[in-house]
Amino acid sequence: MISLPSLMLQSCAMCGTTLGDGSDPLTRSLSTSVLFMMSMPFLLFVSVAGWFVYRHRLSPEDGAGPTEASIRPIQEDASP
Amino acid sequence: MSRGSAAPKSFDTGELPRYGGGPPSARRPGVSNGRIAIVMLIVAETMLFTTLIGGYIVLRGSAGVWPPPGQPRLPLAVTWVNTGVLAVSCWSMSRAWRALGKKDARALYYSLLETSILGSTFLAIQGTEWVRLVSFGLTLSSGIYGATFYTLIGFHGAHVAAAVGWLLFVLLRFRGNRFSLGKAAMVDLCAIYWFFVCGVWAVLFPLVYLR
Repeated sequence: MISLPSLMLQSCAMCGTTLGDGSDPLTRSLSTSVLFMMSMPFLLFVSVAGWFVYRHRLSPEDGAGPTEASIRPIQEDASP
Repeated sequence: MSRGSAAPKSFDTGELPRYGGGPPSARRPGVSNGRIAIVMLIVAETMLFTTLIGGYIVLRGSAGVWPPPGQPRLPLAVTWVNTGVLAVSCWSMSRAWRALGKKDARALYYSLLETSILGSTFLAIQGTEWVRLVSFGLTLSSGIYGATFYTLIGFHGAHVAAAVGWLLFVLLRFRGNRFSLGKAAMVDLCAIYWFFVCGVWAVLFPLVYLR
């Protein structure tokens, strides 16, 4: 697991050339950082897309009901 | 007042909507425009913090000793208390969310007020500790340690300040104790952003303070 970031970054020619085999602290930390930053957009996309699909499946099919399942109008008519 | 009168008309043609015309889909979207907007904001802010954390990982990993010698130590005990304050604010905001669903105006108002007080307390304690750290010599320009600390925690503090400001605005709108669907959506979006800010602290605190 320690060498996984270095191993994965060998697919990038610039990273492999510049960083080398990844034995020094700078190379290891740079590899970890790049792996972390590149994984975040995918994690965000999967989370958001999954949430959208989940909410879409929860929505009523006949169009009736509140706009969102968790919000209901407190006062449906503004009486003076 | 019937539930059907507030509900939109349903279309029983069963046809799909046509571009440029035709009846809209009978199925109501599962996510409102407001929630889509707040999710987009949160995604952008998450990427901002991701880049900051990525830079912190590089700088901390490349340094031989962390924290560097001669630097003042961070106030761990006070920050643990501050973390507890933020955690309680999350709990009070979730109470406000539940009160919103139950249409309990009184509980909603006082829960939001409690959350704003706790958020302000977090900022006040954070600011006090920063003043002490500056007096001990840890500044933005004192070195990598100070620069990364103030950048990371400062960005989070700015987001907490914005969340508190938004919460105070929501509280002012609720002073009349009259609710509507629009105001309920405002509370919902503010709560989502509050939970995001608290979630970021749950990542930053162990990363920066605990070692």
